[in-house]
Amino acid sequence: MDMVLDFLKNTGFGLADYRHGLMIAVGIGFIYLGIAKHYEPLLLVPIGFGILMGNVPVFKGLGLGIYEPGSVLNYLYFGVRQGIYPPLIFLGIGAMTDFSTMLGRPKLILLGAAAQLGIFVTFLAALALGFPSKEAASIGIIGGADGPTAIFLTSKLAPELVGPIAIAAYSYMALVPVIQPPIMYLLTTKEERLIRMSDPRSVSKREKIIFPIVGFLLCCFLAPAALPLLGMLFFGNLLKECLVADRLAQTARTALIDIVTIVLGITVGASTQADVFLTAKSVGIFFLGAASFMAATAGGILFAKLMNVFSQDKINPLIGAAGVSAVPDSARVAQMIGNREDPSNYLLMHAMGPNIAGVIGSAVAAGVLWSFFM
Amino acid sequence: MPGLSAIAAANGWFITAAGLIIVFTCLAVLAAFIARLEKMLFFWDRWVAWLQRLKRRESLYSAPGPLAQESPGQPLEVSSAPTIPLSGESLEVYQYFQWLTRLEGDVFSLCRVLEKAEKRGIPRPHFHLDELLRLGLIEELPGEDRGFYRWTPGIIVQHEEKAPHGAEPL
Repeated sequence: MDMVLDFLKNTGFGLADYRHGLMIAVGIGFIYLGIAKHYEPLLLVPIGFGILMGNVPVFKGLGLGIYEPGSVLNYLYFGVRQGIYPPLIFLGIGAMTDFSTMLGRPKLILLGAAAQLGIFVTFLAALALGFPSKEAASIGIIGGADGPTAIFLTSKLAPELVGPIAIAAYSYMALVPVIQPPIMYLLTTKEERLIRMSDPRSVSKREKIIFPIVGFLLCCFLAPAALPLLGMLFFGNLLKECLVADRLAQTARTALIDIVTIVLGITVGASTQADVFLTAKSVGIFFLGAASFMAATAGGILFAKLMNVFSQDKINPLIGAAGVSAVPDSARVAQMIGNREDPSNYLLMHAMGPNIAGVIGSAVAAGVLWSFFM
Repeated sequence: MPGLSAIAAANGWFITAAGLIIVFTCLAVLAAFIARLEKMLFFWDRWVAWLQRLKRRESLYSAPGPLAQESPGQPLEVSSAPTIPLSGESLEVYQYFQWLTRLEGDVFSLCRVLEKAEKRGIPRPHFHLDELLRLGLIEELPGEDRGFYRWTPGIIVQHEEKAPHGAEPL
């Protein structure tokens, strides 16, 4: 009888408390949002299942938990801790991204820079709330709306916060269609939302090949700490554009990025063990992350309006919101809101420019923050 | 030590200002480079073309063929490229379209060229572009670049009065 009781005590049911139940509910919520609502399913489903895996209470010392050295999950988590997975994801993103909309109208790149305002505003807010500077920088990067960048910087500056920050970043990325529209309506007038933009010029193949090489050199000479992310992003894009390495580009944008996304999603999810994750700090991170995202959206929109003051060629300020990266969801939201005002106004193509510039901008911002706290 | 003093103690203001300046500078330099890239490539192409012309001319002078030896009074470059004669008005429109497309680069979109021509008040731009296409002066690119056009290389356009005898004027 004692043996049976001991066995029952050591099962998940015996070891669980309310925190495990709460985190399991969060995991199921993520899976629901991914499957039923189609919010970033490729991210939310693995992360959601990872949360379930990380929150099955296990007997400490058996080498099963993600934080226990020698466990399978711990080995997989090595790629997150050391910042290996994010550059590999950037390689895949580079190999699947067409930069021509950005190259066709280069001034839209500045919107991608303006949207990084959210990162630095939140960094200041986190410092003011008493977070240590490295943690404040990691929280601020959530405003870049770029999961891999957020994980990369956090793994370098505040590894213990990778779980909450990654979950916050991916949650807000998934919630782009919910978070951004109210800010877009608040900061723009109906006339501004109706602005039609002229077509960007066509971009030659040579320009597309030269861009990743020169873009990489320019950005990394100015912000060398962005090298792992931008190097892989531009390298992936060169593979895609040069056409002679199509096999490599194909692998980078399909098999490689899929494998890394699966492993990253599962391990980030599993890192949210209830005893580590459910802290007051995590709650603060979630609030600041939301603020960061909103400030980034506002920064892009307001800068687009500022550019309209000085420019003859008017920009629809809605596309400024796409500067927060979150490719391509924030560009889709700009298209959706513009389309509501004028069903024949197609903003998606224009919004992709700042959207992609936002990826570069957030990687540069992460590099800058990392270099300040190295 | 929360509040503004915490920001100052962690050099928050400096990091924010420096961070924003670096991000903006980085992307502004990138934007400036991209904006000039097309023009740089255009000048590069002209430079390469000029070098090639120079090389061709040098090779013609350094190794004179039997034709040059026998008749020194004849022009050295004998072109076998097809010549298309155009009337004065058509030639002017042709040159105008060449100027418009030069701003677009080697490869251009007809819609965009038409839009520009209309803005600049060229009369009947559709008609003229159609003529240029029909005469084979402009050609559509093959493969994945289908939908984009370029000037057909190797064609000489001349005023109908200067064109070789027998060529039909437009």
